[in-house]
Amino acid sequence: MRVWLLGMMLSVQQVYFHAWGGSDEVNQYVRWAQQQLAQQDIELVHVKVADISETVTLLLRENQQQQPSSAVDLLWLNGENFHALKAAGALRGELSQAVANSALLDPTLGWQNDFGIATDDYELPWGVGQFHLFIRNSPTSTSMTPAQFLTLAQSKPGRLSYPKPPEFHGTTFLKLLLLELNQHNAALYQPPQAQQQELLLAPLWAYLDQLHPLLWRGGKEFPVSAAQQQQLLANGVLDNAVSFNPSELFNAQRAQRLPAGIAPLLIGERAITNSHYLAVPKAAANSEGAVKVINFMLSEAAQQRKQAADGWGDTAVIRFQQSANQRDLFPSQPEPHVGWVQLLEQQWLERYQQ
Amino acid sequence: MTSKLPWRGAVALVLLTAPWLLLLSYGIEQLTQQTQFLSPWLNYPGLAEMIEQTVVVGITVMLVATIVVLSSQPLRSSSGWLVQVIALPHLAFAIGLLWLFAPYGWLWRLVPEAWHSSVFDRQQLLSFIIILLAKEIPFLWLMGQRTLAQMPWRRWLLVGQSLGYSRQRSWWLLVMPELLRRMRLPLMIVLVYSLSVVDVALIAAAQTPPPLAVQVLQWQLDAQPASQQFAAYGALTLLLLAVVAALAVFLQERLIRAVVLPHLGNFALRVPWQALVSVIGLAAAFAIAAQSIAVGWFYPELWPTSWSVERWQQELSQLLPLFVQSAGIAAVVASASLIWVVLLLEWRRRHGVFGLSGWLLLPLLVPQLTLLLAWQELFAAFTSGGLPWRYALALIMVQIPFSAAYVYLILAPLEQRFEQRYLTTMQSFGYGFWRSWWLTKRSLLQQPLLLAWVFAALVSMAQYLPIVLFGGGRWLTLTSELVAVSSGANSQLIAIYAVSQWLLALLFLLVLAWPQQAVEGEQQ
Repeated sequence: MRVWLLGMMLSVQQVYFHAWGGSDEVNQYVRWAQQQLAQQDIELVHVKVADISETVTLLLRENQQQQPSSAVDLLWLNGENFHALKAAGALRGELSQAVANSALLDPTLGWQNDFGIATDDYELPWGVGQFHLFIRNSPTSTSMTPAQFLTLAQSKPGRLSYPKPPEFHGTTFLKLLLLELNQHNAALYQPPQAQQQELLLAPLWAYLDQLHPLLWRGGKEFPVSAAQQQQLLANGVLDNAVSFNPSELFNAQRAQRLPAGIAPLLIGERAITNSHYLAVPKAAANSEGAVKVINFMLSEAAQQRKQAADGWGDTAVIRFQQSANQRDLFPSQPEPHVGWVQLLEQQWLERYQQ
Repeated sequence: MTSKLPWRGAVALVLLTAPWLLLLSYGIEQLTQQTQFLSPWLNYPGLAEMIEQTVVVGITVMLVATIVVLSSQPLRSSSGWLVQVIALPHLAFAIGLLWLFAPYGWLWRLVPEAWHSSVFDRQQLLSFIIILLAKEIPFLWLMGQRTLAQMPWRRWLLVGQSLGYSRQRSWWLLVMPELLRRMRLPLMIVLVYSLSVVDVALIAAAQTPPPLAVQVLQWQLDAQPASQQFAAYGALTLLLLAVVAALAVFLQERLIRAVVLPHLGNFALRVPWQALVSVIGLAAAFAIAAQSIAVGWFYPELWPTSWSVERWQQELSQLLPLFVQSAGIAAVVASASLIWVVLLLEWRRRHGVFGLSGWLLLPLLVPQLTLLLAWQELFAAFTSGGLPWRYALALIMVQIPFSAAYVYLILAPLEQRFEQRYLTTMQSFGYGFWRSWWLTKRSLLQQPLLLAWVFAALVSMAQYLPIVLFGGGRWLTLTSELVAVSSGANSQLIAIYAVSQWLLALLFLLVLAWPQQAVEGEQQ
């Protein structure tokens, strides 16, 4: 927007990229991408939003009104936001045909499903997330069973918490416990059946009934987001936080946003793994520009830079040709079937928000 | 302007009523679409508590604010410092206060452990109420001062004293009932703001469950059809609560007049409010400023590992264009709002318009998100994939109703008392209407005109949702960026944007220092 007048005169293409603006590392990375893309006469405009669902609401409303042309060219999303846009037919399809670098994508990373829904080429992966905890003065082990976590909570009453579901970090915490407490029961990877629901959910609610009184504010109040919980960790209010980015803790400690003496921790042996994606609205005014940006984002240079430990540190989704992939991933845990999510969120609210 | 062309009236009428007709049609569309969601909505976990919290916050803020404002000294001592506290943006103010006073916060670290209490904690109803009060009371003082300035209250006090009542008793019995009556609108605005505020509620209020306004926004942002419908019901409930709030202000006024005032006698509240509020406001600002240059500041340290302006320097290239853009948008919105209200006021003088205050103040009495979504359709067709100036126009248009409401609130009472014959005299010398207006009314009402403009600009620069929903990413402001970075964990970056936002607000306040010279210039 700064140089739109100049842009119009020099036929520079603006690409309006709506993306969550809460992370300094991500914002700095986008600035780097802006500089690189300027060489291709593309002006990437980072429209920072507090929550990408703001953009999704706008797109759905535009779609409903059948607006021929959208203000959004490109967006960063995953999960429910993708599901809603895909279901409404608001996204450009067959992306991989338009994006040459999509051939580099590593198919073993499991990005073909986004929180249990097939991506069907309506979005392309940008990076990989793995759910884990940050913990202060942690015991030496890097993973814990739910029972050990409960013991930990007993040893530091009022010092642990998790984001309030349906915030997606909070929901992921519930999914993880559900899997662990049921020994990864195969039924959890299938659509929930009426007779199993109660059986499989019961251990989770029993566990949380025990855990909540030991949490921050007696489990009557929860942080509203993972970011907010990290602030509470930094301020000394809490002793734990949650994250989807395996490099985030390192980054935060390097930038002195979190103190030393905090380490990553898994619940169970594996981390719930999912991807975050880039998508183009069907009505995007500059669809071609957006596709060029995705192509750049999936280039080796961009993915390597993104993965660099002194930057964002987000895991690459392509196979590097010229250098070895340096993935430092936790063992990955597939998501339970998407049908369980709504049950978890609904019943959590019924139990703990009445 | 002396001609009575009917089209002008027609245009004004359309501009005044169109936003509400759009709201009406949107409301009907939303509520008649699917009714099968009504019963699940009524059973939504925590709904009753959400409504209860919202009502408790509204009523408490109204009651306490009324008592403090009407019974305290700052009302009778006029000074410019009030505006400076009002200028501190809500979100920055809340972040600063929590960082200072909440458990594990900066000041909390200084206090001996035996004194530690969690009365003022994050995500707690009481903290939310305290923050709202600290922010709204100065606004009500300012409104009270302006109202008092229009009342011959000193004469009334003399009359009271000549009848044998003490000065203080005369204040309660003669001045206060009339002051209360005239303060209805500002009180309603504060009350409705407390019911519908989202950004402050998200960090200060309880979240399990949250106040209704927060939940409405969360439903609105959840794409599922059921959630969308829940959001519509929730917005309607907020609207109903706003109507009830208006009634509550009347009820409170009657109660105070009938029950409280006659029994106050010589009672006077002697609390150094002015000092207290200034100190709190400045402390919040100082705390935020300190955080913006602090690196590695962890509990229980009283000071950060180091101070550094490096992050400011890095961010400067982003901040400067945002600063200019925010200032520009706010200035245009404020000017347009001022012109619009002045036109309407002159129109009212000439033709007598029924319910002008209602039309103009309604935007402050209706939850903003509901209104904006109702308007969105109209503007989407206009901006759709268009050039940036179209987005700018849409952005400015949707902000005007909110800014114009404050312009009206500040300007209208004074304009009403203006002797229009000065203007007629000028016209009889052969000056045109607006030339006469400029020479007489503008120069005599310069102070309130400027104050109204500054308020309109402050309101505009603090807007978030209009930027997100109508700016299309073409136009961003310090506030939209502040809200975006606030969703993250980087408290230094959040502080940098909060301080920038505050600096812009202070810049607008400088405008108030301008009138004297301008008047002299006019006389030359």
